[in-house]
Amino acid sequence: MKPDNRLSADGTEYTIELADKFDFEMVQQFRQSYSELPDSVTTVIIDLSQTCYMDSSALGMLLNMERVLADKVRTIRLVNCREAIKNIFKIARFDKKFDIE
Amino acid sequence: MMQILVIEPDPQRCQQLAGLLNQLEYRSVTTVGSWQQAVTLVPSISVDAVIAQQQALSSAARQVGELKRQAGSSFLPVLMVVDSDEEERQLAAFNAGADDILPWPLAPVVLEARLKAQLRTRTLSQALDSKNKELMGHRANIDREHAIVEHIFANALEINSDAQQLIDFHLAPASNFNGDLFLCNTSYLGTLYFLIGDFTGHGLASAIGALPTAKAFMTTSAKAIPVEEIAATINSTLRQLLPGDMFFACIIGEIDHSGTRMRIWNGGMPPLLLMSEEGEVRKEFHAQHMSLGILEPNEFERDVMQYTANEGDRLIGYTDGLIEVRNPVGRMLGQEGLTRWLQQEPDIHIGKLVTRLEIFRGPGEQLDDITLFSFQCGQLPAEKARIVPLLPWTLSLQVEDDDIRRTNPVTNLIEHLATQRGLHRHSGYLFTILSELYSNALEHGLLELDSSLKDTDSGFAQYYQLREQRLAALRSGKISIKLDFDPKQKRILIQIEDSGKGFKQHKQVGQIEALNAPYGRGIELLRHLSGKVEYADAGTKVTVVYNLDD
Repeated sequence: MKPDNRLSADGTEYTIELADKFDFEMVQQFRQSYSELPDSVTTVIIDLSQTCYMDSSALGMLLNMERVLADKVRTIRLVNCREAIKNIFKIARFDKKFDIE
Repeated sequence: MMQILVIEPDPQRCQQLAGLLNQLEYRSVTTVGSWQQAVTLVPSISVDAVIAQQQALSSAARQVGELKRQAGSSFLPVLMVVDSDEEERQLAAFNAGADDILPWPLAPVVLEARLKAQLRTRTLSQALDSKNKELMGHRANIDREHAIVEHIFANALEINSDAQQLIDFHLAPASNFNGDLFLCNTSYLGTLYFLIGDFTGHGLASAIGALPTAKAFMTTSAKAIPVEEIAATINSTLRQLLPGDMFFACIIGEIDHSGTRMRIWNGGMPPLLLMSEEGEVRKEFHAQHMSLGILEPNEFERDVMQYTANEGDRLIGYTDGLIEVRNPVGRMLGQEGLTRWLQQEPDIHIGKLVTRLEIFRGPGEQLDDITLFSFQCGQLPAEKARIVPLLPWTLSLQVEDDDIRRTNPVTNLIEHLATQRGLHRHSGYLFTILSELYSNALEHGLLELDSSLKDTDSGFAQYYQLREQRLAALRSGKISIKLDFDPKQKRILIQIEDSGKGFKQHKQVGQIEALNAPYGRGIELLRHLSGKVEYADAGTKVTVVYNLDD
């Protein structure tokens, strides 16, 4: 089922909700989740409220996404991060490329 | 059959009376010569009426009273045989407690009429008595059942004592059972969860949903499940359980370690208020959803309100019973009234607020359950999550090519570690560390994959495709993982060794600086998350120290 994707009513926000484990096993699925974004989308939201476990390939996947979408969307937000996940983003200095909440 | 007891000292008159009674079809007649004999017989032979010779009772009032007492709770008629037609004597008999008199000599019709009348009253009294006993039995049963249910509720709804110290609250049911519910709990992460809610109606019928709700809330919140998921779980439980006209308005909230960041789900409740230290309303969390137990699982909405309060702010939650309280002239308190009180006295504690409420209501009766809580925003104590087990342990495992293909040992290890007391909090970091070490041993040591392939988006995916291919073709290779827990130093020593070419760490070092590279950040991440990372034996063996205190 996961990741779950939702488009906001006005079509500008696209939310990807991740499962409890975000690691290399998600590579294909995660890549597909943003491969056919409608042109109306200006903000991509990655919802990590369920995510407890993450490995370094997850960081790679996010960076890849950022690179692919850089010209298409204005912002990528990483939202609802748990303390441990947020800390890993901090160590990797992801705050320079993403809005982390 | 009616049982008649005759007290007559004179044997001749005694026989006469017994004979008369027999003629009137009273077949069960016992005769005694004295009051003393009669008193001992009354309870044992269940007498229905006493016919006593006036002279046989020396102190009549006391003796009649005693006879009636011996008969128990039903009415025992006492008829007194009076020898004289003097009014004084007859009056004396009534004054002594006789229910009727029988003038001697006795005419059979008079005896029959008067005895029958008294026995009718006796029968009525007995019927009433047995109904009474039945009612008292029911009452005792209900009391007992209530006591059992109250006991179960008290235990099931006992509030987690860690959480209780953090939240000030007041619950006032309008009857024995509360249709309101207030629960709080701390999760394994040390975050604080609360639930305040109100079932339709009050009393036992509305309290019945509290048990499954409390159980669902306590187990899910302990695991730090997001509030909207807890709401969804309770919704499906209640949807299945409650009759169609019953539902549960509630707010579920989670507050993080800082005591200021909150996630709130409100379904059908009055707004949760966030008040500043100065007594200003900073934020109102209005209901965004319907009450629980109404929507089908697929109609259920998960939107949550997130907010970061200031330290010192107060979160105030209440059920509608509070704002619907009326004063003696019928004016409702309302949310405005409550807010005004909070503005007038920003640091008012719950006890005092309740006193103000009682004064406002005056002598009127409490009509609905009332629940109220207050949480002062500020750093939560984290002791609970920091407790570390006392016994040292070692866990070691070795996986070979087949095992590696079939399972991910890291996931299995983490599932195991997460169940250990005090370690759940660390399971996220341990997952990242173990994944990194294991991936390096497998992908670089055994499969000899080159990370530079990950340079492009398509290469990234290609890398993992190649990983899959080489893994399928892997014919030999071992990876051993060893974890040593040292309770004194509060640390876990992690050692991973592979039978392949090892991990050439020199290639990766420092590349975290190049933020654009989607690979190579692993080793840097390791150094940040652990106390020490050491490679030996040409990169085939790595030792990492993880400190639980950090």
